[in-house]
Amino acid sequence: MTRPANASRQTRKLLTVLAAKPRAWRHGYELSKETGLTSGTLYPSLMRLSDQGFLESKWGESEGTGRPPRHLYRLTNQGLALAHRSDSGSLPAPLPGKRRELKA
Amino acid sequence: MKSGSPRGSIARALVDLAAWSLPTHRADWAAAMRAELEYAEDRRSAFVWALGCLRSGLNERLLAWSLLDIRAIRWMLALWLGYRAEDILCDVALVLSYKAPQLGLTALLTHCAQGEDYQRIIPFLDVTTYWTIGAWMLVSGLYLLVVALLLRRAAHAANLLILTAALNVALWLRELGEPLYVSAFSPNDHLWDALMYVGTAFLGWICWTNARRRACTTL
Repeated sequence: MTRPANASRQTRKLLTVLAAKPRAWRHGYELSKETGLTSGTLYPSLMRLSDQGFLESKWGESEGTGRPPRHLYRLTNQGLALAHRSDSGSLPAPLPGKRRELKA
Repeated sequence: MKSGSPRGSIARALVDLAAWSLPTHRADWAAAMRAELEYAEDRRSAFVWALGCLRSGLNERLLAWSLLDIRAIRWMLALWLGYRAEDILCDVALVLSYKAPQLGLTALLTHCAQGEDYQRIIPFLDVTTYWTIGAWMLVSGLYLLVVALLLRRAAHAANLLILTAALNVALWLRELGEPLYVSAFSPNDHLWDALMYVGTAFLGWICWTNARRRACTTL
């Protein structure tokens, strides 16, 4: 039996922000500021999305002398579909105290 | 972020620690955290960013480990909980040997109170109810059950451990509300008890959160 898809409130927020500019590559600091999530919440969410194929990433160019290249992220088509489901409310919230694996 | 400032150095050290904490398959994420730190607007943001990264790193490390699958950890925990169960049973025997001498537990009293002057705890023994004794015996029994579950690698060992440890702490806190209990023992004894109970509860919490998170790979 397929389990219902669900995501935490923080991941929903992240999906909404990423889906607002679906083709743009975004970096972690920018996402943190736009979502209001700290890096302690943001990175685990990004990692889970990436692990499950909802997010793609690449290394960008350095943005100034002596500054390292940044890791950039955007949603895959699968991730966009997930974001739309999240926005439309068809993505159930996790059960209280119990988190389940998200399936597209 | 400007280099050379003390807080900047602390932030870099924290992100380095976060990167070190992350499992090897997360190396790209570790590099991403380090790179992003260099774009922080000011030292305070860099510091907050670094703390968050450290939290992520430690979480991921804990997720990568299944603590109770590691034999050495399982056995050490089992030995510790066995000791806790024995310690509680000794206390129960001590109380029963005083309150119910017909049970013939005097020999146990000699064993459990070796070298201790137990006269000073007699007022406390007088007010200890059988209900309390039963509750302590239940906690001890539950600890022994957790030991058995741990050694059988049963899935619910961590759940029962956190419940038992919480019950143990609750009983201890209830006793702390009894002035005769507080006055019966020295501050050092109470400090030792606090370390025992809170330490066991902390171990239980680590095992429980680890088992819970591993069971739920989520978004």
